[in-house]
Amino acid sequence: MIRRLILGAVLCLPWAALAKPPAGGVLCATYPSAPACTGQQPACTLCHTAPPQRNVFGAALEPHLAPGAPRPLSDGGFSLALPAALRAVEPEDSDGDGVTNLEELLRGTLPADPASVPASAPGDCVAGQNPGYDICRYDLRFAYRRVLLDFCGRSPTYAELQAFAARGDDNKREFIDAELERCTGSEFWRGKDGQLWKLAHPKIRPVGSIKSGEDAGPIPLADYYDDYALYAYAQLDHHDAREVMTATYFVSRQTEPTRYTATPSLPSQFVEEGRRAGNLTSAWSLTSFVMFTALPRNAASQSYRAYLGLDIALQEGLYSIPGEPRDYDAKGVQAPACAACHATLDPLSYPFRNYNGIAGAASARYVPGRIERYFSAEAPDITQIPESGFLLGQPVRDLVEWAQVGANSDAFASAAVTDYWKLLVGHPPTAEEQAEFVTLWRRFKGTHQYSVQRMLHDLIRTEAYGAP
Amino acid sequence: MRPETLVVTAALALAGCTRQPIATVLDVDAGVPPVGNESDAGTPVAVARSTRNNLRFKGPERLTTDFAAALDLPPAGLCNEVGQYPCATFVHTVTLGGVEPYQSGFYEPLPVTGVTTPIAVERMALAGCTQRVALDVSAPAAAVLFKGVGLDAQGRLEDRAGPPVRAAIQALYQRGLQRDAEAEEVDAWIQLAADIEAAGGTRPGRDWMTAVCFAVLSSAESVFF
Repeated sequence: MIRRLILGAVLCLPWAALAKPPAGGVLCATYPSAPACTGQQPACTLCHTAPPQRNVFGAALEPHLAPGAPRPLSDGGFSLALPAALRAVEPEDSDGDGVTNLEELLRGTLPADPASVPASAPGDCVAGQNPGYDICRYDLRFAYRRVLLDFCGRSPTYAELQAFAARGDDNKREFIDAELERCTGSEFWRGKDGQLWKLAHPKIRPVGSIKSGEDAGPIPLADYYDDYALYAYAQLDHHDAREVMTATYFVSRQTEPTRYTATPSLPSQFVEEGRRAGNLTSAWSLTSFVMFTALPRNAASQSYRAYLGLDIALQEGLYSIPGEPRDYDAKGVQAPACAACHATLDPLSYPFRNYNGIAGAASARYVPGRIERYFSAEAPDITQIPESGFLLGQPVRDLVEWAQVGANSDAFASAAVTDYWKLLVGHPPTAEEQAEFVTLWRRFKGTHQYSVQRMLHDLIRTEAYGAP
Repeated sequence: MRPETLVVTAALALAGCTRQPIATVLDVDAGVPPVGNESDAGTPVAVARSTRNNLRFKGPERLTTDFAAALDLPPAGLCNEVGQYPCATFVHTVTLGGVEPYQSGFYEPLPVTGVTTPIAVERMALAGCTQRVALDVSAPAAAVLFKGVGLDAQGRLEDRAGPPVRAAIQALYQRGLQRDAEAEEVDAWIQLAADIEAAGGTRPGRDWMTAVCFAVLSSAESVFF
């Protein structure tokens, strides 16, 4: 029966998930409640150091994968054999950290990493006398202090804490929510170099020496403050956070106090409205991540990492497409060591083919026939690069659809909430925090309709945030 | 008295304090008496430990804001190296857990505090406290922390255990840690004044003010949240 279920699961998976390697999908069909499978697929590093080399957990699995069957296994044979192999090594402790493989999988730690072990569950909390903190429960005073420090950038004063202590519990909760609303209007939160800008730094990856406009560098090429403005705008005032990827408008920033305003055009931006995809097609992104390349793999992988939380360099988010990589630009990416990632990365990059990076007067623009015009001599088949591609295993006809599919994905919601979790809780969600975390990003996507402001009210009510 | 001596003395005095919510813990799991967390009288103080281990370091902006508020100093003037380079937003930014994205490519804070982070924190606390003490001593009528704390001809506190000294300690705790000082903490700081006087400095009263301010602002309770 279980084999039928797995076979059914394999056959019913999106067709791209059937593509090689199907391991993540099969593992999630076997352990659907595993934290690595909530809104995502496990990274290849769960079983591999770098595919096809296996880590200790993968090596433990291998002898149980259809023993005696000729190698290499077909995708179908692999998919059918993997569940039994996983079951066979469940009681083992492959990395020798004292926790079985099964418990590690179900609690969200890595069965091949002895440093990755489940922490004590919140239920293990042992109460005791502590005059300062309610250490085993949500502590309203602790949460109040954190909210002021996180969103206003300062501790409450002694008098403010005295006044807070005099409130009833329900009133304290209401007051904390009101303070959150007030503080998200602060310069510390929304201003230049404030907390929202800090979240944006690794996405935008500014380089001061080539900045144009305000605070221009010595070689002014593009103005990344426009990217910060759109990012901040999408996070604030109940705007739709997805628009950081999908906006066809731009955002201007006014100061003292900081305000962000949507605008249909900016003198520093050049992509026509019908070809815009938020910060993916900003002048800075094209200048910095496309630069001079024909096939902008860097632009695609950076967008994938920044907004969907999937880092191909860490073997995350690999949805290999059959027949890929085609190696249109003759870079040798069909070599086995390269193909494991490029079967995902190259079709992820094709939709960027007509977006120019640095190209004189045609910089940072959508140029139909760009490859044919500028790069036809680079490789025999290079003009065959299609504008259609694949994202998360799903076909997309161009970059605008790429951005829409990405913005509507679970990966986007999970990545957006992870950013705030790390900022406000202080670390990525742990195995013990997974239930609260998954609830949070699902409500962000559903109930809150991608309003960061509403999501933040949920976040500060979690035990992870408010229990000392 | 040399600053290093002050720092060590203050740290030792602080270690003797009880009921530090963060520093004084009971190892519930092991079921053994607390180690290194005894009151001056040697009585174990049982304060239950957080099971989440989820303290966060304030970082450059919040340290600046909180220190400046505690000392009633303008944030821009709190700490400047050689009088002109801001400690938190320029010289020690990355060390203090900040970022420097535009010129150095530090897009995310370091995942852990560095070996020099405590030095930078202490630098900021000492710079701010030195200014506050100078202002309070030179203009007693407008004093913020050490209001009414008189000095005698030898530069000592006129009354080490008197109400003005106790009030100053309370003011420091309320402004710096947003709580009242425990009786044991007040006693420890008064003892520190005696220790500093015994060490034979030329201005023991001012040194005590700086030391107690520095020790409170640079304590774990002050710099983590």
